[in-house]
Amino acid sequence: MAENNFEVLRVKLVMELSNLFQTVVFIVSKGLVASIYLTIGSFFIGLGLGSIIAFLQIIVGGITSKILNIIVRILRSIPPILVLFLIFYGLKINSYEAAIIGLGLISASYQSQILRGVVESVIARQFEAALSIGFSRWEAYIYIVVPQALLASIPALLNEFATLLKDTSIAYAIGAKEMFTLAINIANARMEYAVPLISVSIIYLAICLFISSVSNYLVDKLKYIGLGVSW
Amino acid sequence: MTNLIDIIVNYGPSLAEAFKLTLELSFISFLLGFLGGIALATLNLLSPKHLKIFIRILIDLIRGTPMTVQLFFIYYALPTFGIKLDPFISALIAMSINSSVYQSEYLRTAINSIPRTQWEAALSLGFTKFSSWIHIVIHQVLRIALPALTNELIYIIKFSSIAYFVTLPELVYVAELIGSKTFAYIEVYMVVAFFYITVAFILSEIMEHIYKKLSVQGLTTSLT
Amino acid sequence: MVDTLLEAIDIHKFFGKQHVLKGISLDVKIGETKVIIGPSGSGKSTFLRCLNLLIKPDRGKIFFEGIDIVSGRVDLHIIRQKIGFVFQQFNLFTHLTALENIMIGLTKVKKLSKQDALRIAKESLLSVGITEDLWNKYPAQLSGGQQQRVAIARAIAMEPRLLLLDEPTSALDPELTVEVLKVLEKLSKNRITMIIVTHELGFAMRVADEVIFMEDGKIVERGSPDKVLLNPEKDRTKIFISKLMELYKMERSRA
Repeated sequence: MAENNFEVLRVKLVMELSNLFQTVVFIVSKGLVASIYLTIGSFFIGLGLGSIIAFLQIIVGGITSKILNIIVRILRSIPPILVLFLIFYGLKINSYEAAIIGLGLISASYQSQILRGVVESVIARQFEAALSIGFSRWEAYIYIVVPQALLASIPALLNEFATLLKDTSIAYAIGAKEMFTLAINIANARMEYAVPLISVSIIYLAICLFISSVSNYLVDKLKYIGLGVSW
Repeated sequence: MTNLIDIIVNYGPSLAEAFKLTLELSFISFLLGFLGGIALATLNLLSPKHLKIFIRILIDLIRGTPMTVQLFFIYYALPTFGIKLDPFISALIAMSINSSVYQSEYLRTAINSIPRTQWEAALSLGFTKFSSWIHIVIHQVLRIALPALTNELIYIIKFSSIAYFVTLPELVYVAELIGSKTFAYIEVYMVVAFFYITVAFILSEIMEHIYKKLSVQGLTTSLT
Repeated sequence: MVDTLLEAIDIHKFFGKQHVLKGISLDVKIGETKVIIGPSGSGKSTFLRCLNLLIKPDRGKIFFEGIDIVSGRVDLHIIRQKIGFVFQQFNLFTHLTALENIMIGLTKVKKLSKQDALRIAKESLLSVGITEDLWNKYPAQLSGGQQQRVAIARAIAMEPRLLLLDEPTSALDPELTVEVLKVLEKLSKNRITMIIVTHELGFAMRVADEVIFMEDGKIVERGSPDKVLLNPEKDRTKIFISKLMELYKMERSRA
């Protein structure tokens, strides 16, 4: 009798695992690309806008910097869902576009501060030295500060990318095409939530772990050129 | 714009009620997250190697998946295993676990920044590793980690909005409800955004004040 | 044998492949002051840290009050209550005032009452010359010499049977070194048992019962201060001493 139970359990386990596997494959094939594009889109909007904000804050400074600071803080206090709702219902564009713009704006507020922090720390360490060699201010920025700042900000930006990927799940609120929405649709169709949720978790996890190992690898390499994170 | 005043007058009370719920959920989650974070950080500090690996796996699991997935799992998936929880408790548990993990990481960063020599001095006086942590190092760590922890509080208040998905009547959910009744979606959302922004700004100011009060020259500020 | 407080026998330590301590043996009797000198990298600090088990020796035995403390069967934190350690970088707790730095060990480790702890702390601070106006200052607000004296007070307030000092004046400006050495001389004259690692040869001459010269993980020469410092037998000792003398002559002439 005990043997029978064991067999039943084993069969059930194998069934569940193959169900899980199939669901993962399904979500990957139908939803992963959309999520990745969404993430990449908002990341680069964030990078572009964030760079401009950082540039204005550092080079122009003064009142502009203070105003931008307040705008950034405002963007960082509003819940992402609300931002998406405001853009979706406010601008009457399709959900995918709304998601990219909304997440892009939020990401810009974070990326601007990351970039600003990195650039300011590179300036503090290297700007005077560059001037002493005879570079003009612009040359110092272009040849010394910007290259180092770009390299040094990579780990933090990779982290931001991973965070954005996870945030795309919120686009479910406006029905955008991405993995999480797909997973929930599957769950509603099958009346079963555990397998789809675990499947989509596995995918998120795999990507995030990949990104963090790349980031760790780069941090190690960066230490050689003196740009490590100071613990 | 008359819509805006309309909203505030007619729905002010319900919004305030939802606001209260949002704050309750957020503060309790933050507190539980803080206690959990300290527990995790302490375990990580004092555990033997094999336990540390287990903790690391747990942390990576929570950090590598969106909070929305974790929330959905607790509210929608646990019932299949026999555990049915109401929206508030589900959101509370999901947010507390998530926050514990992140707060333990902030604490870990702060712990790593404490020079080994502070530990050595404590050990030389006769403290055990555990009592060195409790009586000496943790006081330094909390001061250093305070900015990161306040950011976490503001983040939680912001993200309490995902409880919208499990039909908890917090601010965003109620806002949508009002929106569907009045069709003045944008106006309600802006009122609600205003709530969030105000809370964030006020909290920042308070925490900055507390941080200044607790700062010790040489620990949280560089020696002049 | 009854008055031998500490006995270290054939201590070896490896850091990875590096053989840092190659068989160091040392004993200290109650009331003695032993001074260890030697070039940097000779393993002096490592050896000192082995004595209160901040570092665990890979080979050898250490007997403190007759008990084997390396074997791992004793509670280290109890042993460490009886051995005081003064660090080169002072290592005061940055978030506590001078007074609180002394009191924390007394209240939390020795479990004394707050009044007793306060009384002992004040006495210790006064004995090292730290006056009342400095008691509520944080380490960052004190000079190096003041911080080190507080560190010494913190160690002796615990009433240790043995005091270990790792280059207590090396991180100090020359003017501040004098005030710390004065305190240490007083302790030595009061028959506190001490092992000090230092470069201060004049100080060693005045207080040491035995001087030990370490180089490259081994003890090269040991004996009375007169012998080791003024009439060294081994060539390596002679070279080291003469180098130090030159350094001091240069410093004096600059003053």
